[in-house]
Amino acid sequence: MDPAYYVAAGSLRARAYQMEVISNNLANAQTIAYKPEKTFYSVYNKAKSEGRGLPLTPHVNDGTIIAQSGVDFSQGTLRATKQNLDLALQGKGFFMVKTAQGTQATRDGQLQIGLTGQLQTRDGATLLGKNNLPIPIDPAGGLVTVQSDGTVLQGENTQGQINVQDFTNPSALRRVGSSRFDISGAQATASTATITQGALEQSTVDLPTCMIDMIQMNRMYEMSLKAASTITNDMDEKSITDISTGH
Amino acid sequence: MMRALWSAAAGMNVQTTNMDAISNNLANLNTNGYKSTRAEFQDLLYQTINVAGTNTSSTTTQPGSLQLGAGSKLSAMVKDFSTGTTQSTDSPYNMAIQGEGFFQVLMTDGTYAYTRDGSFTTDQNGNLVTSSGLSLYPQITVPQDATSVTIATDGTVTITTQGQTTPQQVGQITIANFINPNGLTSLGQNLLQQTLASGDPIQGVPGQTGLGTIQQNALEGSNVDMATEMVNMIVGQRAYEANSKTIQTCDQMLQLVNNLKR
Repeated sequence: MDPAYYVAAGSLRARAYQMEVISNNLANAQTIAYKPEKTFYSVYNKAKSEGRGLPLTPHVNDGTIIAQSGVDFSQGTLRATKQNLDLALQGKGFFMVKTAQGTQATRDGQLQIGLTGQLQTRDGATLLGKNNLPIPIDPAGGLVTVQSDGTVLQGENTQGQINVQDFTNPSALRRVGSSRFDISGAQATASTATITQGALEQSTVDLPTCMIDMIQMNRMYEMSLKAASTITNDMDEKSITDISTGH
Repeated sequence: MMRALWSAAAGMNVQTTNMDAISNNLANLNTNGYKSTRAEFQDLLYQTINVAGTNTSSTTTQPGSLQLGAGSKLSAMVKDFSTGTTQSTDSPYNMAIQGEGFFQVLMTDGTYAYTRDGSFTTDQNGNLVTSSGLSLYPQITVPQDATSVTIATDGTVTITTQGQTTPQQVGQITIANFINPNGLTSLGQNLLQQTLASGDPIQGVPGQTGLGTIQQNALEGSNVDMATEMVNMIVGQRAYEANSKTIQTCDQMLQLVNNLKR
């Protein structure tokens, strides 16, 4: 098999992954506080690093392309909702929530008051305050006010302070769905983010960029296929017919 | 490749639900006490292809991970419980709650339902009932000979009768609130029902313990904002369109692969 075929195949696989990333971003164009995945590529010289007797040589740059992705954590725009339990973060940082799988991070600030009278996310994960304490709300205690530093007030009484945390290596955050990130392996640090009450952070998926990425990806995919097709259909076929007819 | 198709399908699905919510809001633009509902989304599960930090050779490691998502899902239908615009009416039995709280009505099966629609009338026995005939609870009965009915902001109902100068109290309207009003289920006919998620009703006298006050001769309109709904509809439609483009692109890619073999 021609080594170029592996290059084309690697590129095709990487483009297919990219398509999946784009489609997931588009599907989340209206998910509150969604941060899009960005793909990038690296040339990977398989023969050099693995040397498993592949039909590739370590000397020529005949590596396959592999895709990687990272989350673009840039700030989303805020949409006013007039609901006093909708919170938006401005700046780097995450709300910390307690789930059955341990503490997780999220930027989705749609809160409600749970059965036990604590602030929680819409799907029932307890919002954590400072020192990992839940924030109790008295149902008959009047309007809940959240200050920009996360202090939760009900009337004149301070009920707690929301713990907003940043991470020194956000690339270690692993997506777990439900707009949350698993924080194992990430280094927590103090956050400078401020909280805006009565607003929600919108998804930062940009439709035009996604469309352009999709068009470009489609063409790159076509190009790699053309390379594969040239090798298999034209060059190999020519060799076979030339040899068989004795030219 | 198939993952991208399913992600796009999931994206189109949530946008359909979004449109359902918007169209229901618009249909209830003039419904008394209607609370606008919005659909909220979350991202779905992720499949990890490469984990950051794993070795790519004896000396190098993967700098970033590769995680592929599976689209989006509906997380909640959230009601906006902000007070709608109040309009004044001529009927003394029309009431609007200014602030938090719900009127409690007795259903025909003996359970209770809660409503912000204060368009009450009297039935043949003088009982205060909703426009569909369900009795307000605790029951208020207005005697036949009453010449005027006054409902105070704290819910006390007083009447005056022919020839009497001192008003006479005939009942006290209480209202109920919930720790998590978003947990209430809609029954239709402007009625809401308690669930495990909403918690038990907290009954009280209007104006006390965080409850709103009652305004007589007024009705609370819908809190649907037409402009917001229109903007949401445009954004939703574009997002739907973008997801359909994903499906087209996937289809083209698969077609190209099929044409590889001549």
